[in-house]
Amino acid sequence: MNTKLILYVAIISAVLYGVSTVLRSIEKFKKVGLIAWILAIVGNIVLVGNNWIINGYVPFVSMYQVLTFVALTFSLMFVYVKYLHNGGWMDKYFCLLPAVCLTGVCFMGIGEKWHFPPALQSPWFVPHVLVYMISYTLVAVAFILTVESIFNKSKSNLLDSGIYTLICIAYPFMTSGMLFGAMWANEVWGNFWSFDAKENWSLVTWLMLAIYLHFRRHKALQKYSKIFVVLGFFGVIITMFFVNIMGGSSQHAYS
Amino acid sequence: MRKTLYIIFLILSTVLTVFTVIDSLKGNSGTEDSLLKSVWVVFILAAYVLIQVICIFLMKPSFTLYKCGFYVLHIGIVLLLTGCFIYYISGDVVTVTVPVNEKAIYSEIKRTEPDSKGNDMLKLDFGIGVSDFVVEKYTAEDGVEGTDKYYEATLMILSDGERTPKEIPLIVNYPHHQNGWKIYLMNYDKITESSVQLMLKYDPGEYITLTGIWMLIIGTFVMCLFKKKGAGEKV
Repeated sequence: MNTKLILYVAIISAVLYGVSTVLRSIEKFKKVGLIAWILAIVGNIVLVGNNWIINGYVPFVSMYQVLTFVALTFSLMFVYVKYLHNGGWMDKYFCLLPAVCLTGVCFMGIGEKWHFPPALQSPWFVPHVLVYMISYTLVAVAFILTVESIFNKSKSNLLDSGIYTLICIAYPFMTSGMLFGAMWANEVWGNFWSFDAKENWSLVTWLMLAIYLHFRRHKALQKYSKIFVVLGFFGVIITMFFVNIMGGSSQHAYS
Repeated sequence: MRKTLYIIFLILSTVLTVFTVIDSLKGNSGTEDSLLKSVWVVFILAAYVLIQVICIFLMKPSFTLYKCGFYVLHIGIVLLLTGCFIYYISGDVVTVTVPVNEKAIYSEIKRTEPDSKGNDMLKLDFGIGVSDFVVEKYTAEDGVEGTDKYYEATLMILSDGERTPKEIPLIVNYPHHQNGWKIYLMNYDKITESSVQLMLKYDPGEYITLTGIWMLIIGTFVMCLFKKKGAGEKV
């Protein structure tokens, strides 16, 4: 597909996600917001499909490919949270974050082909990245709820339970992502853990959320628990965007 | 008691986080200078094992899915780290450059660094060689010209008592298992393509680590998805 056309689809999808965020926040425009959201998802699917077709593999390699798919994951996870955990009230947060992701995508190498190095040609590749994407989307929404809970004391209880629900869903996926990665590393690099920056920061993120889950269940420590959601989210951001510029010896240099 | 354990957990995790931050700021991650490769981390991991064991004994036993998840998860962490300790104490790893040659079989390999007993050579109870190597690269048509698409070495293994070596295809992501060793294709000579880099690893704790990993994954899913609902927990 034409690169310019793809860029337009990305811009329109980002704008539609943004518009749906605003409309879903206003009670009488909720239905119009839903239409905008569905159209944004369609555009997002076109972007993911295009990446898949031009590269010939599941598009999880470059940051552009990952962010495009992450944007779509928010909507998929919203369906899960809404129907299985009664979390329909979180809709506007699940619309806002894909708008941010796709805005970033507009400034990246749209339509670029990426090589698929031999190290990535493994059955572990898709499950490892996919479960991480699922967990990262939920942690990002939990972070926004945490920020809102600081400023909006009247909804504090609802927001707190929302955060707990999201982290409880995200955490097993994050654990799987980290450990699928370890098992994959054992097959490709010959060790479960090589202490490169991406691995270390993913462990730090995992530990922060583990502390949240432990503190959240303890009466005396509960009041400190949300600090670790914030730290966990910063861990996610560093793991995803910053580790490749930190130097040192990284096995994850192609991502 | 539970509060104390949580605080210890927090302190240990904070130390690991500080090490990670320092490594990242100094650009030492993954290198031999990394703080996370220091002996202190071994003590931190041992302390993690200890608090898991205490937690397991402190938990009042009962048959709920949540508690089953708790046991599976925490025992999983203990097994995972135990497997890693076994490798740390009695495992071995050697990286070697092997020329592509139809006839050369080696049963002794020179180590890049002497082992803890000062041995320069690794003696194997089988012979190893590489008879062929092929590499396929991306072309201009693929839009990413020059990078590796696929490479494969033909590994020769001569077992005890056999006269002719077995030929086994060796590719990245699919190591070959031989007499307790795992043989990995790591890299190749990018200029001449006349030699490949292999890694041989002996890990007696591997299956314990793998058992721990799967227990940790399953336990986390069970605990988090069958979590207890307290007051204010309903979304």
